[in-house]
Amino acid sequence: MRHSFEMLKECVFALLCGAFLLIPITVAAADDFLSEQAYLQDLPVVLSASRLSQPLSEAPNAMTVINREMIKASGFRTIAELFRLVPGMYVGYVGANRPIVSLNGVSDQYSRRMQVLIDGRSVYLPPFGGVDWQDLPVMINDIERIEVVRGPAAASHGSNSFYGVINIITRDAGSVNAKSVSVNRGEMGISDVYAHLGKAGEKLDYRLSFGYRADDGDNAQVTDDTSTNRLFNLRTSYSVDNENSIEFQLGVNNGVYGQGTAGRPEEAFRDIRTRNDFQQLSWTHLWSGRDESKLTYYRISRNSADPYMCIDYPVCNGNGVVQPVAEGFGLDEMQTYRQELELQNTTQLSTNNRAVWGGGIRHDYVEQPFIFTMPRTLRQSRIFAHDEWRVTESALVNLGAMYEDDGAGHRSTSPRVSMNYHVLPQHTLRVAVSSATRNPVMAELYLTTAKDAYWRDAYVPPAEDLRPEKILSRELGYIGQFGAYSVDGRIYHEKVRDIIMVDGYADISDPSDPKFSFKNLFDATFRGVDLSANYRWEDGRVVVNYSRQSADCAFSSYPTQYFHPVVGPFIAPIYERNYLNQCSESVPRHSGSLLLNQQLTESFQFSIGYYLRSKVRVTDVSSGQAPESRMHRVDMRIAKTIGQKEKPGGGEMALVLQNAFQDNYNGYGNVPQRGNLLFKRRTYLTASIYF
Amino acid sequence: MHVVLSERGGAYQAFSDALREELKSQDVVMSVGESGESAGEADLAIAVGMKSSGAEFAANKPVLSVFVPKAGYDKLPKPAGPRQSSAIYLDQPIERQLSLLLAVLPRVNHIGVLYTEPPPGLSRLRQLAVDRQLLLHEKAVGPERNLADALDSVLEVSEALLVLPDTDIYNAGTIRNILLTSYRKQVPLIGISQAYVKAGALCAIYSTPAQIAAQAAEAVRQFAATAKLPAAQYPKEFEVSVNMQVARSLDIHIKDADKLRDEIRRNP
Repeated sequence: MRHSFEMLKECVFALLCGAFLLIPITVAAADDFLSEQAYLQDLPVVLSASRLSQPLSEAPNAMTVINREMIKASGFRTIAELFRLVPGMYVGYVGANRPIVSLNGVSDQYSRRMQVLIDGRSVYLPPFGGVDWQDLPVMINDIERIEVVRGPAAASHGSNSFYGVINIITRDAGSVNAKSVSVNRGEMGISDVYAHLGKAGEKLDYRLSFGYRADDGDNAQVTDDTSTNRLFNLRTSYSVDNENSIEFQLGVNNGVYGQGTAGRPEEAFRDIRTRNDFQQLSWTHLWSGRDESKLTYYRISRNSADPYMCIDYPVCNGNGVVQPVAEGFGLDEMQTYRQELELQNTTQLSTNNRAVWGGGIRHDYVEQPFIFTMPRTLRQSRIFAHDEWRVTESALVNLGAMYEDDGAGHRSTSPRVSMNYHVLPQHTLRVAVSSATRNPVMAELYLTTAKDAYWRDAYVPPAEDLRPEKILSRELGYIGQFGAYSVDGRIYHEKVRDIIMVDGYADISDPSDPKFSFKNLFDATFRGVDLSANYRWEDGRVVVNYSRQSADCAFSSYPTQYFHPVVGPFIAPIYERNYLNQCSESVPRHSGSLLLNQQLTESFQFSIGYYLRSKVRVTDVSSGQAPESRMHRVDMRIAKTIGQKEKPGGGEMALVLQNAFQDNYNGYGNVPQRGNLLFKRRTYLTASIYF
Repeated sequence: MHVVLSERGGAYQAFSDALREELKSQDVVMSVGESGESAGEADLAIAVGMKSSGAEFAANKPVLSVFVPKAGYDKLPKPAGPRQSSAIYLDQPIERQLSLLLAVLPRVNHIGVLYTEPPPGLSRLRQLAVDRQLLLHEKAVGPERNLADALDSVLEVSEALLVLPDTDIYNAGTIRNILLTSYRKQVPLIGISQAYVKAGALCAIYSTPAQIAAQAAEAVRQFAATAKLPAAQYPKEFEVSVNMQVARSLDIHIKDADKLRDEIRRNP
């Protein structure tokens, strides 16, 4: 009830906001169509450089685009699932309510080596540097398209653009010109309701979205992985005059997530409550000519409260005979926020040369008494410049770099250079060398916990300074078009240095209380081939992706006690077995997807998705646990549309079948209880109407 | 020879400057005045724009109208009696516009157009579409269908949106939503002036004030020699303008503007 009240408050606010936005705008009287005005009138620049997306054949990195049509055809109802449509991308679940999304291997459940942007807002968050996908205050229906850059791209996408960049672009304020309600109902307790409305005016556009998304999780008996989300989102843009426009966005997501594993007293079944929100304001100014400046400020914050976190392992497990078990648990509260101010300029240096340059300052804050002795802040700053130079009609060179200071004593430069050569207008070769830096996240820098208090062992901050991780990627790509077919492929080689990982037994000064820490332990090399093909016909489309990957690891420096005369012989095999030997398992050797969409009749539409992934073991799934088994999954969607598409009176009914042929596969599991959970077939219905 | 010219700054000024330059070496006296207040001495009035044309027709003098769309000029009540009137239109013949569209997008079959009222050139456009095996998707914007709906339904089925001169549909207030919506649907816009290209249209075909001035100067010279004005005509010279950034973003491989212009000149 408390939550519905909060939601109500937000609705009231939204309505007030909406009412304000609905104030009519006077329309300028138009001239007679016979006059010369139609030819002589001055028009504002609308499709300025920042509005235009780059075609794949001119992008300096390998890129995958997921558009609305694909999102719909896939039948996926959460954002994380969509990344199955990206070659080589890993999507896993620590439980239905905790998705993991990563590119490349050597990743754990806190996948933290990607930049994730939503309308330019960086949403990977401290303290662990990952993304809480379920918690994002954005609804899948509001997404216009997702661009996934496969490879480091710090020069153009900023900090942490390490393994890659996920760039989510939501629908323009002016693109929703109707009201709609949609409902999902199905197995696994799926129960979602969304409402969207919007209006495009002459100067002012807005869209509002309300959402409720809930399900009961996968295997209620074994894990508590239910989730309930209440979302609200507003986007509005106002064009002040021909040169200036302002955009404002805000969103909120209140989540309730089940957590806990049966048979593990320290992981009791309980509900974690979270609240994610953001506010974003940007001002775009067009200079004479084609130059443009954009100033953006945003703030994102996330609060979470776990009412029953184990803070005393023996007691939680019932070993502390004298105390009641409940006393081993405590309320684990976390608050984090980020503020950023960024200025980005686009300067047309000549007809063949365009530069994008600017800088930003960012302030990150985290407070979580159970794992940090005090609130922590980092003030990061960066500058970047990126030049797109059309050397000849068929050769395009991209040259850029970012320089950043992470506020924790690390300064780095991440350059990139690439050349796209149009051998023929429809056939392009791309050669690229790109680098990026991942600075240590707050958890890696500052965690402090006592023995048995949060984890079994005590954690101490690293004794020697952590070095930022570095990646250097080299790739050769080809993009070709053959009439209605298009093909995009690449081979790549990525060298990652100084991967920061857990250094068990970093401090054994007290043998009964060994302490772990983070340390720059590994170097990794990733090699692979990606292929994407696309074919369109009159009333259908198919997209096929395939990726073959391999990973190799070596120590960059040895774990602290590796050569210790007593502990060493015990530690060394653990590192060799669990990390070095399993490194190659941290990427699926083969993965791929196929999404086919066919208009059957005027009103019936059918789509089928096939998802393949060979065995994979995420880094924190140790050798004692089962890796994720091979996945062969077929999803289907059949839809019937009524009336005009996305117009008042129109609507759609659809049936989605996930894992239709019951090729059940087990997912991520870092404890025995979870390792054998299967992803089974599930069905849900969706209906939407426009009015 | 005495020429009087109405002028109101901007493109009008550019025209009169260019005309003055063209006629510099001739024995022509040019004076500039407000519409209708023609100097008594003048032999010929050059009316720039519809408003001036209307005003000049009231005066007792031969009139050459420029900067007038054909449709507008045809509707003007012409001066009675033997007085001469003629025009150099501002718009391009629809054939030329269609030639540009086909030169830029040779594979396109479905063309969308929007209007508030069927324009006079529509039947010609329909005929040309049939001749060139194009499917024309028309939508009228009016009380029953607002612009956003009409635009959506046209874009749904069209591969290019051909702008027809209609300031009720295309104006500084509406162009933002039109261009953003068409870009989202990856449908390029073919404009009718350079302003459209600057705003975000893929390309446009148009005549510059200088090109019209050159043609007007020719008419003035003919009038000076023969006391007769040539028949009303479309501009002979024209330019093509292309928005390369939009073309690239839409993954359209487009020739440069001068090549396109020369191609259309050769095969009008």
